[in-house]
Amino acid sequence: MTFVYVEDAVRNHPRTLKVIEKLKPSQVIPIERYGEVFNRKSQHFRLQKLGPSFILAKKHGTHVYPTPPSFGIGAKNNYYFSHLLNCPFDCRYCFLQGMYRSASFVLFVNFEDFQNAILDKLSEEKATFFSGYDGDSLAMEPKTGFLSEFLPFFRNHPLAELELRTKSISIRELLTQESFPNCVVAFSLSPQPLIQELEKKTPPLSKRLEAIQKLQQAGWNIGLRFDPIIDCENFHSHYTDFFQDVFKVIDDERLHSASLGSFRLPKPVMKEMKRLKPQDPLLALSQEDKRIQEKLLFCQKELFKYIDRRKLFVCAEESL
Amino acid sequence: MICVEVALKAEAGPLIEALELKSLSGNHLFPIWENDQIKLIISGVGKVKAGAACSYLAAIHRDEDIYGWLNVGIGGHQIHRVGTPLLIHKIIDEGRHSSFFPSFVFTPPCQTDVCLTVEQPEHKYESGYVYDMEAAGFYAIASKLSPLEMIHVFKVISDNLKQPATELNKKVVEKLIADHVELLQKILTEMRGLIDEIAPMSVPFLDECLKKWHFTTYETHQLKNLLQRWQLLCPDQVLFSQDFTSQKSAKEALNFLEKHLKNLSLPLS
Repeated sequence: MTFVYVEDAVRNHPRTLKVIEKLKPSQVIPIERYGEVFNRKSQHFRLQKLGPSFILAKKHGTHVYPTPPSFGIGAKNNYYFSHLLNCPFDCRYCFLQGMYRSASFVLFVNFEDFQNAILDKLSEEKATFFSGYDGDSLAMEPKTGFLSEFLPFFRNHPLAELELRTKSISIRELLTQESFPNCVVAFSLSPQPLIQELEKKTPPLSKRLEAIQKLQQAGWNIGLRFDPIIDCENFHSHYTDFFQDVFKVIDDERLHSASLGSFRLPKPVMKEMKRLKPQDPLLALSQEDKRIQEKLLFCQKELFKYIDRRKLFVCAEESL
Repeated sequence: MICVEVALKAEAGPLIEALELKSLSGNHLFPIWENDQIKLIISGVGKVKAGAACSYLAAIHRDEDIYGWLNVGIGGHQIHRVGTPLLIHKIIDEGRHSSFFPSFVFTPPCQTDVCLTVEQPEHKYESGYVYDMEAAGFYAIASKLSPLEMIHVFKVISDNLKQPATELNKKVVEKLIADHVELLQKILTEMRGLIDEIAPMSVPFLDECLKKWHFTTYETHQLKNLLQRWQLLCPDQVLFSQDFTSQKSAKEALNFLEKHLKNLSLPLS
């Protein structure tokens, strides 16, 4: 890591000092607010992805947001929070590249404010809190120490369910801690040919399945996220084989939930992605509803061969 | 194409020689030198001139693909040794009380520092930053023309408390830059290596289609989009088949492409 930018407000925060020690940057550059170096007009996401910097900042204002209505795994109240913006992986379908102009990692070090905001949302009903919306929940764990702070917090608040969304196999911290029922480790999975084609820098399917097995054995709830389903050549055979491979390994009894979703992006995000990556065939695919629905239905039918219907959630279309 | 902007002719000399640049003919507001990949402009001293030179270069080359900008020059510093080369990671415009942060996506091949752009020559160097007179003007304009990751400022320390600017002359300045030509070439190579990521995609067979059918402006836009998609999704399939060329109008040709593309899946390599 070459540069780490640090907001003046968190310069002496113990978490800042810890992260800097781990990153060992060649240069620590003080900034007033992270907006000075993140998401500036004329920054280029694809270029930044070639060498992202790290920004340590304080999150102000809202810390916890409601999820879109169709997003959930069974709870009535669903929220997401982002202590980290951006991700070390480089998935061609990732909406972050159309949402931000910058690929640098922003770590908000004021974890306590996130935890207080989560407590504010809690009532007598169960609520699910999704982490990993604006970045992978586990991939940066060795640098951020997110889990070591948030797992004990959620363990103490059983009405707050935590979903950690990831493609990473960085599970050491999870294996160190004792599992608890209101935490779901949700892995995004795709057929290996699609991982190779679209999910640059991510672990292969076999490694993700190994990690899942280890976590299941340690008692952790596992979620499977088949999202996005991609309309690729030989779709039916790729996905049939894929589901077969996954459920050879996964213990359905201990499966918390599975979800299914198509490749869907809000129009402005898609437009920006096409501007940044005019050469990407994925973005040239037809977005015809009928075709997408047909693929989703096929996957749903396949999945019902392996899992209890009540465990499968389908994320509905957003406007395309 | 990458544009290099310098304030002084003495700063330009070693670059003109090393990069084998030729003077651009014609009557120009600023002296301009070029080869196939680089354009160099000599702006004169001060941030207003530096900004104006960038605008001028962009304006007269607007049909060419300019992807990056590099400001090269000398600067003063309280303690840095004369001859120290530096890339700049923060530029402060003293007059406007504003800052810019050049964005690095390659590992800088030399040390980096903060540059303070001042309006009058500085001899005390109290701030501990690199003092110059152009970077802020250059960056303010270049950042409107290219992605921030493609804009950099490179300074060689020419004076400090022990060796004041009054001792500088043309020969000394030339040598300061000449000593770092190799480093500058490295920076330019890094920047050139990024161009592929941002170069626009060409549209295959556009001219052929436009000759064959009459498209309105809106239809031409649709056609470009469909031809690009064809190129991405089925590059091995023959576009100008009998079926396609037998379409009678622009509308029919567009429908043909649309219908074909609708049924394609993502090709896997």
